[in-house]
Amino acid sequence: MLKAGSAARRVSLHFDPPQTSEEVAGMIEEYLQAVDRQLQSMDASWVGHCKLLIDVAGAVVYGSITMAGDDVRWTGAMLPMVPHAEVTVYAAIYNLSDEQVAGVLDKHLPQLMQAAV
Amino acid sequence: MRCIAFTGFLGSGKTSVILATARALGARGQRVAIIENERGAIGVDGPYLEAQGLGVREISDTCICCDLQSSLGHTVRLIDSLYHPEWLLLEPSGVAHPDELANTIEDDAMPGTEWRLVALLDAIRFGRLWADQAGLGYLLRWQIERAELVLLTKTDAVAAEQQALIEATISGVRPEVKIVPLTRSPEAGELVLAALEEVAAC
Repeated sequence: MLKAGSAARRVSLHFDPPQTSEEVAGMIEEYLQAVDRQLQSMDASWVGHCKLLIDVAGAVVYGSITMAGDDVRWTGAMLPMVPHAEVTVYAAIYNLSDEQVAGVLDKHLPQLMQAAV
Repeated sequence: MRCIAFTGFLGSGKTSVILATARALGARGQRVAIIENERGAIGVDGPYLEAQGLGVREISDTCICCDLQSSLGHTVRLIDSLYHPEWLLLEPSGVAHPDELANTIEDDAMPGTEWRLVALLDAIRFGRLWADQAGLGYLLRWQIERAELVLLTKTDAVAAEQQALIEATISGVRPEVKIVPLTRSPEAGELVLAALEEVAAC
């Protein structure tokens, strides 16, 4: 049977002062790119789904990458100014273990949270 | 109850297509239920669909095609008795084997249901996956083999020549299968429904 390792994390991001949606999207893209690089160090041609659900006052945006070197694809639009965002990051990657995927998500989360404070 | 199982790799666009299809059915005044099968304790697709105003039931941390076969039948019967939907949209996990999923559906013998398997193939990754015949390409072939309808997603991100090559490859495996190119357009849901109606009429 085909295997995929998966992991998910939820974090609250607070912005003081509030950031523009473009700035927040930029932080998220940097996070996904860091995750991609880390995944590539384990599997240079990884395939799977690393996605983020970003909830800003009930307006939900969805960003994801699906293979090594992928560009982030977005669905939905954030509110113009973001004081606070609930972020759920989920990754499921073929041929890696749950522990490996969790390790990748956790390694770069502090960087994302520091950028937000 | 018309039940549609959308098979496809992780990241092939299953959740987006289910959302578009559910919205199109809602616009037609049809009652829709969705079953999400995500791996892991924290789901993303289920909450996302719920945030779009849809009712979702999740089967988490297992795979409906192989780990816990009774879950699917039980969940379908429960949803039918509680909500009496006219349509049920099922999103299996990205590791579900289409053949095993089809067997699970047959073995569970859910009365009053009419099932169709729809394969979502992602145009961006098709070449990379197809080349891996001993690995992911093997599953890709099975998705084509078992599908009654193929939705070729993300076609806006590939050249027309590349799309034509992918369609020729799919037709090489299953000459009779209907292939519908799909992008994230407002018409996506209606395109899926029209294709399903065409397949049902055959």
